[in-house]
Amino acid sequence: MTAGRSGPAATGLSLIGLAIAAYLALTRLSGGLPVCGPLHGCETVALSSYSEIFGIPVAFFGVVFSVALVGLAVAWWRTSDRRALLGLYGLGLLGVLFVAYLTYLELFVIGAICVWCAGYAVTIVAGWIIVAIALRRSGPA
Amino acid sequence: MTANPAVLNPPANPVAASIPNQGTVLGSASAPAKVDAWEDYQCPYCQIWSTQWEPNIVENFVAAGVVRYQFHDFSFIGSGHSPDESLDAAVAAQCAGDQGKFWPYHDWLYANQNPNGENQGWFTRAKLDAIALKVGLTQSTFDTCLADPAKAAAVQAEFSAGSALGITGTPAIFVNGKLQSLTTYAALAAEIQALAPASSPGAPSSIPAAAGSAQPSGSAVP
Repeated sequence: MTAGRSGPAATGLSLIGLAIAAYLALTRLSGGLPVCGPLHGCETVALSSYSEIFGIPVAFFGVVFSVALVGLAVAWWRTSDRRALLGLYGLGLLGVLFVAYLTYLELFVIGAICVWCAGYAVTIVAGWIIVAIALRRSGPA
Repeated sequence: MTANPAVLNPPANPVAASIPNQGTVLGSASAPAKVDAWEDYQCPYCQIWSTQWEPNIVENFVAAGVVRYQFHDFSFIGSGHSPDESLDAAVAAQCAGDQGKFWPYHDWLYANQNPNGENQGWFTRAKLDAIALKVGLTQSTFDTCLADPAKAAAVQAEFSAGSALGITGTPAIFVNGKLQSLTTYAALAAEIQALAPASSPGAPSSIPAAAGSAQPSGSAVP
């Protein structure tokens, strides 16, 4: 089993996720005053106490997490090394659980949905599904 | 904060009673710089603007006669919701204005904004009445005003006027008609300072320090 189409697909999705996380981390760092736009929700989520973990903005964790995903996805794509695929699967599962928890917070605790956050969650879940299928097709090692 | 309307947070940086005001306008009409602030009482960044940036502008520029500051309602967040909390809060503040208490009411609304989101039934009639009591309104006059459909119509008309100016979000801050990007307080202060007559007595000689930690954006999900 080689990386086939799953390699570029996983790489592309993780790059999109990285771009979203980087954008959110940068707006956090700039310290200006964004506006409450027509798609209100992002501002509520961004200002909530859940936007930080141990004082570190969640967006920063997202950047680090996405960099790791991109690295593993590229490794799987270029080398077809099954260990990279297993790493992607494990890390991706962690990501799916984390974005599920954060989406739960948005919906049921904060009461607002942020489109950027939802977009990030979609890239994580879709990437993990692609990796899971690739892993299944590759059969037992 | 609490859901109990009887327990309210007092404003940390209220507009000083010594600042000349008329309705939603602060300062002298002949001031060289006109700052127009379009806001929604449910918008979290409007709360940051009103509690951290606006007090600096009032203290450094309005008090010095450099700025005429005007608040405008741009109530859109509650639109399509029932009750429309943005509209209810805006009408209540306008009714407070009829009794000469617009600014105290405005300050109390922002000090007691829902910290957990929008359109959750936070600005209830009970809470609006509790704020009225805090700022010393005559309740019967306030009741009559809240029931007057012309007040809501006026707030909605101001939303239309703001939309016509091209406003799509809040806070929308204009300095002499120019929409500001609000990247840093220092940049905004410099923009205003440039409009002050160089020789004007009382005009700040230097740009005031940034308005503390306006830390917005970021997200609950990366």
